Amino acid sequence: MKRIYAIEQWCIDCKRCEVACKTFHSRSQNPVKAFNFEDAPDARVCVEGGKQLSLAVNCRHCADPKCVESCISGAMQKNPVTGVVTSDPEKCVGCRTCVSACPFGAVHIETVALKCDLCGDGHGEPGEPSCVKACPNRALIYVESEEC
Amino acid sequence: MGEQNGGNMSASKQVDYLILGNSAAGVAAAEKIRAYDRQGSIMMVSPEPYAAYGRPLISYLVEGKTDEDRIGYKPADFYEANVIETRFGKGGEAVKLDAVAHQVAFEDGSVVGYGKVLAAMGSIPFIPPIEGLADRTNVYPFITLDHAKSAWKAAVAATEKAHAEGRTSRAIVIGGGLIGLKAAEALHAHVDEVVVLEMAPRILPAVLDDEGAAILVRELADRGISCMPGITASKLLGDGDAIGCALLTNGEELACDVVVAAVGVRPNAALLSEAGADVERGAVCDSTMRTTLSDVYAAGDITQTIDTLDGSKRPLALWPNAVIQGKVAGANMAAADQAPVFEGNFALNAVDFFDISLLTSGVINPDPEGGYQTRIISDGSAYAKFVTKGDRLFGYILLNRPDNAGIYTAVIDQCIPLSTLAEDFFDQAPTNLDFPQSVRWSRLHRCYPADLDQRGWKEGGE
Amino acid sequence: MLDYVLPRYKVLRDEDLCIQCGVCERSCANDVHKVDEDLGRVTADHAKCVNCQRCVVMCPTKALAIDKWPQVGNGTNNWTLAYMQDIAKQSQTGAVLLSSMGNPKPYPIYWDHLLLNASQVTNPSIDPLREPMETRVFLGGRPDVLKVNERTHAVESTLPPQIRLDVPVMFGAMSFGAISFNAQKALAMAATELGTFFNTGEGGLHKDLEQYGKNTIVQVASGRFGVDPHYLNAGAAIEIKIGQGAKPGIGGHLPGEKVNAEVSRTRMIPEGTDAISPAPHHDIYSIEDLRQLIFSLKEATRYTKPVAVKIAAVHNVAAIASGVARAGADIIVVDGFRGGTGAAPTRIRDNVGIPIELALAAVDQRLRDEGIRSTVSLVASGSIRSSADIVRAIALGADAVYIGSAALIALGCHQCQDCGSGKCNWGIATQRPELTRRLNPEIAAERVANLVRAWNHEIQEMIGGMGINSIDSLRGNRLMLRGVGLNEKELEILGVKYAGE
Repeated sequence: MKRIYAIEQWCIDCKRCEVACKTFHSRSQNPVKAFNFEDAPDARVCVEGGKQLSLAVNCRHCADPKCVESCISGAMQKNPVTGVVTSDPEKCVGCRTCVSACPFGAVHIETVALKCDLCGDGHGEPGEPSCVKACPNRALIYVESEEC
Repeated sequence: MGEQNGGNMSASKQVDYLILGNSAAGVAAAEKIRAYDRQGSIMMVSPEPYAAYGRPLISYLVEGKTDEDRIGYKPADFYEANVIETRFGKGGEAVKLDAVAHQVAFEDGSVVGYGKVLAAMGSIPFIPPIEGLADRTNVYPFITLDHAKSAWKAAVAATEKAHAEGRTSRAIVIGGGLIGLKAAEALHAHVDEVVVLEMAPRILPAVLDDEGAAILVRELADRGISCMPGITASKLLGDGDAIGCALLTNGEELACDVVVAAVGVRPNAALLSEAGADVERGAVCDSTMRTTLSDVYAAGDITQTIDTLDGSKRPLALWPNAVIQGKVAGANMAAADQAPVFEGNFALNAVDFFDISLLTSGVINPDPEGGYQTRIISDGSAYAKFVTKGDRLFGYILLNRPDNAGIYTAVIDQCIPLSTLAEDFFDQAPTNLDFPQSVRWSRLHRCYPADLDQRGWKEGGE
Repeated sequence: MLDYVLPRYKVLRDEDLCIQCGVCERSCANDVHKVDEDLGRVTADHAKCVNCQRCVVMCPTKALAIDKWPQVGNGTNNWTLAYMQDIAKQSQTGAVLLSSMGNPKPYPIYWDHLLLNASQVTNPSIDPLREPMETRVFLGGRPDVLKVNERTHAVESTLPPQIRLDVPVMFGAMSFGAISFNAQKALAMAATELGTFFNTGEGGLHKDLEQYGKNTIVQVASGRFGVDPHYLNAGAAIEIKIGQGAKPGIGGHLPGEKVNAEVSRTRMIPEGTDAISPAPHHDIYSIEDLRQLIFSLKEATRYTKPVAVKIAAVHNVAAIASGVARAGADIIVVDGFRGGTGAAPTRIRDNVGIPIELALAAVDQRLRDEGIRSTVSLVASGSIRSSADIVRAIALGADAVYIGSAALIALGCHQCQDCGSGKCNWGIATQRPELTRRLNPEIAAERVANLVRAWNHEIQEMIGGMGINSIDSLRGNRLMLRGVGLNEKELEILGVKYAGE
């Protein structure tokens, strides 16, 4: 499957990736509406660090995801065909067991669990990741990786 | 009909894999078996007349955060798609296991023969030996969906009745552990007042410490749940079948309309011990999840696990642990090539009450002689405690500071030396940048394309 | 004392589009933007803005634009607001005014007065998509006579060393220290990709760029930074920098702030010290001294590499060039007064030197008149802005051109002219790691290579239009140009006829 990888060397802490992710996952998909009117949930990608050293972290879509293992409601699923790991907001109760399990801190809770879904349809079909498109410096690349 | 001394019961059915239980461990095992063995027959049985659901969700159901249509753990076609025969409800309660004859008898008299059997019947609640509790109509455990639905119905009815009589309704929860507090939170939506009694000196005695518990009691009180640590009911009084009042160990009398008994659970392992398997604090299994009886496996709350942090053996009644054990049991039952083994686990609890979050893991009340160091970072309603020994993290409590907790869990799990991590690793939410560069690269870049370098450029294309 | 210095720019933020994401705040090294939680909006400190336009480009909703500070002067022609503000600044600081990049003053741009020929009827134009077009150029000296053995088809004369350019454009001298490592690396990668050269400038050659040596011209400037035999042999050619168009007559100055560990190692000077290049080379006080240096460098490289001499375009540039040619230089680089710089005194940048168009024409003509034009190659630089400028330069006599500012603009430079502060938001004219990381050499090299490739194609179109199929046929071919809006003297110096003639 294709995965997003962060290249620390080129990350400039601009956070355009976060803006693009939040916009894509908002109802309107319009940045002005998403940020100023909708109170859309925060981005699923998170830029750690600051000016001197920064890194965009998002879900690794692990081969054997700890979040799926720990989900008490069955909301977290790994699509067996595409490999994409998604959380179903209808089933999620926001218990945070996944937060305590993810070794990368890639899930956060805003009522329900939110994490990278490769900007797909939310059910495991990947799309065109917005964060990668928005990055001005190729600090996020979307490349074919082995299933892992 | 089955005979007492193990003679052949006449099996009405024969399956390759018989799974007793339809929750985390059972479902995980069934999936794994089917993944490795496309041909073998699988049968799952459970006395609960529902498709698999997560028991931890029952409080959310009562609160209204989910409903019966959405609590199914697996998609509706799970059993069909995996060719699993099911018997949920009548005829689903195993009453006798004959390990020699490879047969299990059920409460309706039916007998099923098996090639391999998995005991994944989970936990059953302790019933507290409180005078006046037995045979009452308005006291409920809070383990299964049916328990929750009954308690819910009773609470709603009690409140209606109370308001009609011009008074407020009260629920008493006996037991301030995780289940008791979740039950309290759930009932809070349906009664006017909830009181939680806890015999131990603090609520959540197993998964929290004194300071954290004190903060939580305060936070819960602010949100309408009164906790009374160090106090329980000595006697339950009432006219007729219903409990109307609790006499507390501190002498107080509390009127109540509904009582929930949530004083703990124990492994539902009688079937195994009666069949001759070793059962200590829970079913004893080897690293393939096989019990001491041949072809009899066990997984989930029913087992006792080796705690990898302190070497102790006890049940680890946690959802992720059950799933992991179920996967291992399933793979080994199907005799998979290079089937994984289970070498133990450690405690990991994540729970939320209203807008409060509590995540704990590992050793949190360290033995004072154990050589542990403790650091506490407290800030208003946020309380964090980290237990370390030398260069390793052994446990944490994170109350209202949940961000990236999984990174701490990974540091415990993988024994990552703390001296290699950033200095402020504990002061605020941990990040991937807290790891040294080469470590964070390999953590975050599994299966990175071999022809690209760390700049994202084609290797050699300087 | 009261600060009379006004902001030069005003940040315009469209509040309807601003989403307070803070990308602008994180993009600005000058601390202009701030997401103000108390006020509930993003504020701007206009006085700090240098109009680099990084925030404008980075804003996810295109909510920003930079305007001129709306303060009018009193309308006089001579006491403009700009002159008055310069005096205000100097009366407060007592310091020399410094500027970066090229001369912005409205002196005539002769490129824009030279029109190109196209073929009609008698000498048909050539379609570059169908016919081969030769844009390759060789730089170096030529012998007066070429002895060829006609039987064996072998050349018997020894040719002096040449470098081959696949396109008539090279990347001008911009030192490591003035620009970032990533910027130089991008130029080196692009030069390699295009089959041309980049120039190290006076800052030495970083060891991680030695792998591009085949496409490098190493510069020996008055400060002699980084110069040792290894350095001289690392490149394909050597350039002695006598002068620079932006600041003829004075030396260079790299503030200590920009001399970090890497710059220090490459220049072989202590970290944190100012890198001063003196005005003259202190071992060149006559043309004979220059000849001595040229031949020292040839000896050090065993006569395998062409030696170039770069001079600024000043009043007697033709005579100077003649002397330089006779001193043994293989290539003469003439840098016009609009050339860029990392930092120079404003008055020198704006007022010293002459236009490259006139200088180039004068040098080319003088060398031809003296019969020594073929002994050297001529390279022109100083604000080459487009492929049309390149065609004109070649027609006036250049063998090839250097681009400096144009290459940086391709990398992302927006000509804010604040390079001297060391806070280039595009990661080009800075050494701060949090800024240089913004220039990913892979992307930057792609941009510059795209630019030069596009220009090369345009050159092919233009010369094809003229009916010629090789740069060789364009070189010094003044007949391909016609002047417009020029007086007799200008036409004479340029050696072109007026349009219509």
